[in-house]
Amino acid sequence: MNEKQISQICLVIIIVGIILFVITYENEFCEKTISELITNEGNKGIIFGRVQRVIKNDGMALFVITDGNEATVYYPKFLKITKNDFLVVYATSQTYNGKIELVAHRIEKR
Amino acid sequence: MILLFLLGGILTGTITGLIPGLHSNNVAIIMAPISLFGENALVFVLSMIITQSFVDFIPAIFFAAPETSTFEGVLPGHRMFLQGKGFEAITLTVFGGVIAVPIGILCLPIFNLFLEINKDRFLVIIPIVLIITIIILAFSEKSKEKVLLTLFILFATATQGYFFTEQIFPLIAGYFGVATIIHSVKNPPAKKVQETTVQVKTNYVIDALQGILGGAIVSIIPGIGSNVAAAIIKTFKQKIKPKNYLVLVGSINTSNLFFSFPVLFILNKARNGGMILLNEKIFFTSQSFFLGIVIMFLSCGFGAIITLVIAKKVSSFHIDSKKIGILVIIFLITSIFAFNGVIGLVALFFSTATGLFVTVHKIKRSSCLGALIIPALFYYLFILI
Repeated sequence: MNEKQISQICLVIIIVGIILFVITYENEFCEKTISELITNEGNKGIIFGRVQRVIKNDGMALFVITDGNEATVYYPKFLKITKNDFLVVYATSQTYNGKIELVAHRIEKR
Repeated sequence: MILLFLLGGILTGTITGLIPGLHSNNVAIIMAPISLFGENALVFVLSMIITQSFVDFIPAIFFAAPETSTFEGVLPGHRMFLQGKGFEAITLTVFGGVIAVPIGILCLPIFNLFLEINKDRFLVIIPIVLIITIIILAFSEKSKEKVLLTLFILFATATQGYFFTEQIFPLIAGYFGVATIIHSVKNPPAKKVQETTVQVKTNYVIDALQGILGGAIVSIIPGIGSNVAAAIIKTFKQKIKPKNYLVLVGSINTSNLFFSFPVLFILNKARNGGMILLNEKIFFTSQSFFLGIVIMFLSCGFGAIITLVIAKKVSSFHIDSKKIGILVIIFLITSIFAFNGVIGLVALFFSTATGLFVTVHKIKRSSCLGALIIPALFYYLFILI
């Protein structure tokens, strides 16, 4: 095997990689409203909203966010937030006690 | 957008690979405060580290300027370069890396299962392997005098390893880089014309597979890098030929980085700078995992082709090995001073002196690995006790 044949193998790897990428890739997060996100379990998206109420913030954060519609958001870390803070939340929807809630992966304060 | 991060990662990996002393870990540290996250961070970091694992060998083999991950390939590779076979040496490391990622992907289900079952047993197995390695290193020398000298070097380098805990790169650069360059000044210069025709035997696949196994194991274990794995395999396989060894080193280097990604996902343990960064920046979903694997697969193809193209280009120039050697020494001193400060230069001085002592007395250069193996051994013994 010479270096040209190794390069050819690499080209095959690149082509197969591009095909796999095209088949499997889906946008990680795109902007959505709360109502779009909580229609089904497993939806994900970036939501913009205000903190309506902080339920718990002790090692983990649980709060209600609103953008016209409301949803409860769970975040596994402590957050420095208060009522009326404007947040950008990267979240997925998940069923908890029969109700769809949002699990945040990242939260930015604006 | 994501393709821009892929290309950015490949470009950054190429640059960091070509510049001795600038490791992707440094880039990861620089990137830490930047608000790059999610799949963008995932794609950038993985494409960077996989590309660098290929390109890294160019300065190591052509200029005897090692990285902490490639120094085991410096001696056989640079020797081939001096014989006019530098391009062949690079091609062999590329071959090892190209085998590592696709086979690594096929092995992922077994690897994940293996991780779950054996993760606690490694704590016991590794110190035993390290002790056996030290014994073989010392007692495989033929005369009593050399055995004593090897034991002395193991002790001296272990002391340096303890004293200069955060100075791994200066130590490696001294043992395997600067000492090699200084010693080679009296050797005949590299052949003016480098051969650019290469024949890679298909049975080198066996060495690549052994490298994948070594890379997979070291990706799980803290304190042991791909370089130590290569040295251990070399110690056990006393008669391994330089060409087979280069395939092995190339495979270990790439597969170590490849498997560190599933280790991050499954064990939540970060084993290198890139993974430490990803640990903070990515979302741990199955989608991220598959995207990461596909990106590493793609980067493997790109990294290999880029390395072959650059190596062929470099081979076509006439390289005055002595002038380049002096430039590399100046560059290493400057970059060590920039990244490690005065303490780095002190470590470089002692490690170069040790490297020269080993070369002059014709002891195995791998005895300098006492600086890594013995502190790692005590690390594991400390955990067990």
